[in-house]
Amino acid sequence: MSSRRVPLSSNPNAANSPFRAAAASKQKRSYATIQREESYGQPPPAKKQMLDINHTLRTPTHHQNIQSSAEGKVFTRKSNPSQQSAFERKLVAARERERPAQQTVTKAEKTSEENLESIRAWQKHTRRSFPKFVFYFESGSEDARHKCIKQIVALGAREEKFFSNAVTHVITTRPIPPELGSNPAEAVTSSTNDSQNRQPQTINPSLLDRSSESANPDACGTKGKFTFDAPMNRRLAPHGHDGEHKRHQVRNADVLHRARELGMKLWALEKLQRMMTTMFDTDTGSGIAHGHNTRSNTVQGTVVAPRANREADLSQLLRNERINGPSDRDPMLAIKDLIRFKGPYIFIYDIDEKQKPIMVREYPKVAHKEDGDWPQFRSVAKGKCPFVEEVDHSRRELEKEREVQRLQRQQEKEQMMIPRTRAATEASKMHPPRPVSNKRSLAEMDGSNRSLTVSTRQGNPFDPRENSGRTATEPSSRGTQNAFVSRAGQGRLFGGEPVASGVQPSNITSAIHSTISSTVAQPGGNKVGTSKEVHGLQRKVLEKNSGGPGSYGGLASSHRMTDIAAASREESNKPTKRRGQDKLALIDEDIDPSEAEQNARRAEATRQAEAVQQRKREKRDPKPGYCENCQDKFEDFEEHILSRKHRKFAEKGDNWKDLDALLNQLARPRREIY
Amino acid sequence: MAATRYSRMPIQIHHDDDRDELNEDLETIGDSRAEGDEDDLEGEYSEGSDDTDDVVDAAVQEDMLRFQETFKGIKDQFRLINRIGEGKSIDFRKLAANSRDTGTFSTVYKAEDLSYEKYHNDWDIEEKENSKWASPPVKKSRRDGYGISRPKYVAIKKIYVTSSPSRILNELELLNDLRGCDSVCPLITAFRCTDQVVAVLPYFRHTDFREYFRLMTVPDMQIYFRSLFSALASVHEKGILHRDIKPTNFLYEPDKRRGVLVDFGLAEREGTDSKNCLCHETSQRRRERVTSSVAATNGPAVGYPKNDPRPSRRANRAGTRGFRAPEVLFKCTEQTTKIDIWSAGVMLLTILSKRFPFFNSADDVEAMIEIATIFGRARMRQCAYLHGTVFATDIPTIGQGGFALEKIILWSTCRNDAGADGEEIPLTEEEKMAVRFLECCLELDPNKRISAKQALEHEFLREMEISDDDDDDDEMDML
Repeated sequence: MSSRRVPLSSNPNAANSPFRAAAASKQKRSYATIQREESYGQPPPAKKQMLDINHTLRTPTHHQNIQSSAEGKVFTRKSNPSQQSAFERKLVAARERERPAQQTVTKAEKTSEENLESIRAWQKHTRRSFPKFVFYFESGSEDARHKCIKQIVALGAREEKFFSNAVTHVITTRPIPPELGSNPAEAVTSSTNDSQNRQPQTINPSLLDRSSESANPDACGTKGKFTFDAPMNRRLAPHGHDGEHKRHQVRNADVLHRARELGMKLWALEKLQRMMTTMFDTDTGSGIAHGHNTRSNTVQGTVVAPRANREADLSQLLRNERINGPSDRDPMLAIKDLIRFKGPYIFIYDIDEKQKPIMVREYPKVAHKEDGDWPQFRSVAKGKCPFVEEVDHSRRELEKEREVQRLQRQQEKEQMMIPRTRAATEASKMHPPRPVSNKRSLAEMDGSNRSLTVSTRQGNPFDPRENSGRTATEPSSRGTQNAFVSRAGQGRLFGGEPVASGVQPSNITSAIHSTISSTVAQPGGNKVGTSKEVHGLQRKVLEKNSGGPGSYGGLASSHRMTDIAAASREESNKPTKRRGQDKLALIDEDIDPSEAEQNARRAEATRQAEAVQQRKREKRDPKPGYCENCQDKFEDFEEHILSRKHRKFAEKGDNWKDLDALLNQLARPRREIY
Repeated sequence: MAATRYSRMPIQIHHDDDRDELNEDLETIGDSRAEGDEDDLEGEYSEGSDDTDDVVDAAVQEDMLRFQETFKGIKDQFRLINRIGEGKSIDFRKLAANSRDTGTFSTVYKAEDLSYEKYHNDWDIEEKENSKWASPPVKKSRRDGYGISRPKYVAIKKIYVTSSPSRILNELELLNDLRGCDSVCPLITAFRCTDQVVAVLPYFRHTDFREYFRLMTVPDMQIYFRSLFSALASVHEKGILHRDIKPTNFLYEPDKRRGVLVDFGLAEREGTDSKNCLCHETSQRRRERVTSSVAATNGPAVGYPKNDPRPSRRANRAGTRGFRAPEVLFKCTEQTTKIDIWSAGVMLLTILSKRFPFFNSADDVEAMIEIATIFGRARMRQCAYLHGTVFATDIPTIGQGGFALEKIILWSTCRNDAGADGEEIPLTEEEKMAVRFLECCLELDPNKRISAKQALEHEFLREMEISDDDDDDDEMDML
């Protein structure tokens, strides 16, 4: 065993995936793996089978007295190019000689055997040539036949019920006779001569063959499914001389031989089935995937060189493998392109590994699982989503304080237009959604230092007592912009010490905000009461944080991100109808009537002002989207629906024909007597 | 719990302090969901139950005026009153990126039906009920006040002109097919003016889910889900998947004890675009396929390819996040009506756990993790195999066995250690029954998941003699 490499066939780990590093699967082997490999580790019987099969197929010249499997082994072991034995060379030579014989094999099949790379090309080719094919099913079960017919019809070919000249392909489950006179090997030639001599025999050969087949049920089993031709050849072996003998005896009477003579292609049913499987990837459900095919092909190629790659011999294959890594994988997925999981991950992929992962995401490694970014049960107050993190009450205070600072910082940053993503991300990660909003509303409403330590629950941001006097002197129109102004102002001052600003938004306006925004079902969450700029800022923050929830292995947790998004939106759309009303009620209770009236009037004024502003903003803010009819993205909905293209579609009656037919049925039934 | 807690302190509940807080939280939730790409919480008709016709925002007013002007003839038939909701997805920005998954987009207006008297109005259940027997006591005074000529309201669904005719056709066709189905919002009529298509549906007074779900007792749930499942049963019987079962699409009026299923914008017929999925094979065949698969041969994955040229699996995933069934997340190519049952199960879970939403998932990956957290790795793996996929994770919070739903509910309602000495307050018998039903709905295997029809036979939904009627009325009045 001078070979540096263990033959793949005897290496249980040869069955590695296109997507994983062989090394890794060795290192970190979980118990499940080991268990699994016990059952899968052995080279599948099919592979061994292939050795035999291939030999019998490829070397029909050899008299069956040498055990082919033994041959295979010899061959494999001496795989090192420098030590190619004379025997090997002979084999290769024999293979070369044989090649003409293989012309019987269709072109399509050849390609498929070549290599995985060409599998797609093969499919394309097959699809193109199939419509010209006319199949005749010579034998095989009805079931299989029906299934195949469906498939070949789908590919454009047709089936001929009776054998005729029109047939181009004969499908059989019986052994396929060798091609006429094209086999250079003496043994076959001689036997051919033999059989020619015995032509006029009366025994129906197909019957004989069939009976021998049924006596050997294993023959049509699933083994050797890796190549199209294999099983049939396998069946040849046990027949040995005898079978061959019989077959040859009666050649001309047999449909198969007739077909040969007429230059038709003879395919084993199994071969056709396998072709179909490859053509219809998923649908046949037979579980033979590309990867499967490929792998087996290549394993074959490595172990039994004659088969897989007729041109390249073993040495070349091995060299290539050393350079490019194991070739038993989809070449498009080279090993270096594998992204290994480092942190906790979730990975869902199809069992056949023919498709992109269905989902995959990796989260940053954390020391404690509670710190993990993925959704997990959190202990949160009643009523809240159990998967969304929430800090406990005492910590909340702290968080809030930090939150304000964060906001200031962030705002400053945003204003300076310095994209300091890290900070933003960090900040957003540190803070749960609720405090964000609370704090923000506090910062908005009440500039006093005190508010920083007051929990939202205690401090009522709408409490008129706190600054109703101030409010009264403020012009009401301010209400619309103060959200921004106040926060910006505060931001600048906050660095040293938070200074209460006199130019604070009035509570009442805020309360009004809530009423208004609750009555306005505003698209996009862009609600009244927040200036566009503030919104813009928020959006920027969000954009920075969004690593892309949909992206593979995105580091940024979309989970948190959305929380923040939610929070900021909440901020802009704070109050529910109910809440707003509650607050108003509070005001009513606490303020003397005249003041309340004043407030109400002011509120009305503000509301109107805001409505106007709102409308303007709405107009300024085009709604981008996608038009299914024009199959076009657009920047501005209003603009798009007036565009020529869209109008053209809209006014073309044909587009609406089907719908109109239904609409006519939907006409409201009129009442007779009215 | 519902029963025990609320019978102890009946009325104060919604006036006390945490009411406010809860409300605010829900607001957060509502908003965050609106951000979602293909879904939003503001379903159609998201307006609350109160008829706040008087306050109409100027922008809405303007929008309605424009609509009336551009759509000729609509003024004669309907008087638009207010905008009461948005159909699928509000945020266009998101749509652009993900248009395939989005449903029909629409705006819904409440309108007065000016020509009600001119037509046959088979759709008008309320009218029928009113003529059959006296109106419910609560509403009596009001109805009487209106007399015979009281205004009739309808919901006008303005489907965005950017929706393709075939999509609109699909929705209307399904609605038309579902005419006369129990608890399904009937289609009154629909018409078109160039590219603008409008569907007219009855206007249903209803209460916002968020206002009552926390207060529901088990009998309330039974009534609620009986209504929902009878709607589902009739929809499913026609071979139609609603695809977007969630509280906002089931308009429920607690005091009338009736709900209607709305928004068929994502609905489809079973088998549309479907391709064989392993979940429809026999279990034996499936096992063969799985054990002989590439993935099984390859052993566990250690990474994923960087530049993956393979095609991605395509499957309809339309729906609302948090309510998507596992098979939708696994991109099963042969989805059935059972996906709606799962969503309904999520609704029940929400109510039982008193947490809305229960699943917060921003996307499918998170949805998967959330579901896996509950059900555990082993069952998720089995579920994945059902659809020809491999579920692999090493997220530490996803345990091998997961949790029993009963535990989750105890935990969610803080009853696992709320009793004396931190004991758990066990579920009552009727709650246990609800959980048993929940388990049937939240069955990972769609083949084993209860069907709507079977559900109606389940002990939880089976109609029984009305013994606890009085209690219920109290509960509902409280709302």
